[in-house]
Amino acid sequence: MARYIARRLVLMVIVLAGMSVLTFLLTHLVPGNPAKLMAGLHATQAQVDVYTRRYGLNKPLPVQYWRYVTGLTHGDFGTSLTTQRPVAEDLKQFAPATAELVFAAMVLTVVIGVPLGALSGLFHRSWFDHSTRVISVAGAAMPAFWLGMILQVVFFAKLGVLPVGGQLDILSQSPPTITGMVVVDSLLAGQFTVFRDALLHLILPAFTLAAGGIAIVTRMSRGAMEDTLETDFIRMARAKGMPELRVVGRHALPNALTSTVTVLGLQVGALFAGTFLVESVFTWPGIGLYAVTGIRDQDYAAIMGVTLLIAITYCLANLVVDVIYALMDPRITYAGT
Amino acid sequence: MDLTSVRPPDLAMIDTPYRRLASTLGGLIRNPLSAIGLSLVVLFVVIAVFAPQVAPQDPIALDPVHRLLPPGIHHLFGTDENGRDILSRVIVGTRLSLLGAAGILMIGVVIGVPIGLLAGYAGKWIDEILMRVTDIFLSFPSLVFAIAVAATLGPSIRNAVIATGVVWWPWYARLIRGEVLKLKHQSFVEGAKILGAGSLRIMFLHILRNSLTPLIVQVSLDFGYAVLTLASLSFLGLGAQPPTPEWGEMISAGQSYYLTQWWYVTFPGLTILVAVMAFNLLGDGLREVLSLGRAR
Repeated sequence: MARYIARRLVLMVIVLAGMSVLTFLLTHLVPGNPAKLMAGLHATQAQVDVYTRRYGLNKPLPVQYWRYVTGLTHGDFGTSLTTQRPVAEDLKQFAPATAELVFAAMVLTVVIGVPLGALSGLFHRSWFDHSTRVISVAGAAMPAFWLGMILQVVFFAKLGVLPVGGQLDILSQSPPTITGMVVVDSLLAGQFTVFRDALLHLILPAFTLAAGGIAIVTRMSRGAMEDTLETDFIRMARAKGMPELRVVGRHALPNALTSTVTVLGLQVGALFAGTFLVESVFTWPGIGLYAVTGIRDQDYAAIMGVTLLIAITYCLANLVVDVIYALMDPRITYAGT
Repeated sequence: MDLTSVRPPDLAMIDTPYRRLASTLGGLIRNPLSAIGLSLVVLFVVIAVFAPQVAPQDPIALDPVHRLLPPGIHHLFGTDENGRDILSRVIVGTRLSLLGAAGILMIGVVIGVPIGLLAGYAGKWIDEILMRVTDIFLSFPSLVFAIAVAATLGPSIRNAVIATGVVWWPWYARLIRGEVLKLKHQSFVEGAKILGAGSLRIMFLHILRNSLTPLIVQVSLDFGYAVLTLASLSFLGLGAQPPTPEWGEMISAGQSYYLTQWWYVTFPGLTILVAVMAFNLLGDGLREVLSLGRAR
């Protein structure tokens, strides 16, 4: 097991190095002169030259890449044009909100998707199965940003039961920063009214972000459940008179779940991608909104910083998922992979 | 031999018997879900082709007197803040959305297929290098990477298509590589080799022709997601620019109005939903019909 993890870590370092080459090349495809961009619209040639020298933009590309990579390993993601602060600091400030949102969406994906799919597979070809399938087909085709807007129209504008966006009501006092995640911090500080407010603000964006994943997980676990129920060991369990509840709960479900776990790893990527869209609809102060603001202001350092942070998190998440999968399924051997 | 200078043969040039096409269509129609998908896709394509004729009103001309009207007899989908008919804009936007999605997949296929062929056929270190590069591309969540590329290239529909296509190819490279590995040692390939066929001829004619079915299935399954991705980029301001009517761009433009004028974003969004669903249903049906046909 340790060897498997070590091997995966080595592969991950290669992938991360490759990623840094890609983002480096991208930043050097930027139309126009990056020094001019940094110096501002009305800069003189002398000012542009200062930036060119400061950032080594007159050096050969490999030298520039080396500077870039050594910077990255020291947590230097460049300076944001919008906030005029190091991108790393901005990321540190905005990441907790995104983590909170993605985590909530992940929980919703599992809590809604897995039982829905399992029941659907269990009651194969019933009305429940058919309606679940329609929902999952629609969910997979749903533009997340549009779903968010529709939910806002229904639950905020028409019914007035949920807030339209942001993490907290204007009247709510933010809890002291411990983790940076408002829901967690307010709970830790024992501020239950703030906690309730934060939770209410989380419902719509988290559900919007989760919708696509719920559809996929439902579909996967339905198929897995259906396949598992047709295997010989289930037939055997039934034949020897095991109660149906035990057949499903103890034998079918755990086996069906293993294959669903790998989908969850891929889902992490989709969830992070979704934050760009969902955070900008709900003005959720996370890295997605930060990047979208960066797009409008041509703030390339900010966009690349967010891209790299998401890619690294995605790689780590998939590593964790693969390890969990290997632990869950004893048939997988670590030697060959 | 310079392998990179050779282009894959035009897929349409490879003759498929009409009987096979007819049986595929028959299989699609027998399944109610894929029949719905197929008819909706045909409808969208017809609308895209005849958009200017079908659209009841001018999609771009301003008409401030009739601004922000709710859906009614004259404007089935209502009007936007400039008095433009939303239905007409949705109809005209169909063309851009479908062409854009086709462009994305075409770029993906044109880059991915030769890379997959080469990796699978050449094997050894060429395979190793090409597949590691593919892994690196795949280790970015695709929408995030597409956003980064599109933002760097600058906002326009053309750049959004290029950015998404550039992110899309690794999936096809992997698919084709897998097919090549399956076919490489089959007797018809060995036979062609003995007859003295060159590597390029074997790769692009014999092997590619026999990998077409899974490729077609994958492309049709991906079409809906390409539409969705393009709309997402446009929503973020990286795709079509106003006043060009495009589904994602219309929703983006409606951001200041939708809480009070619900119809503004509802109808363009519903159109995206129905279109993506239609392509997904058709893709699923096609996969079922073609893979069954192969097994038989």
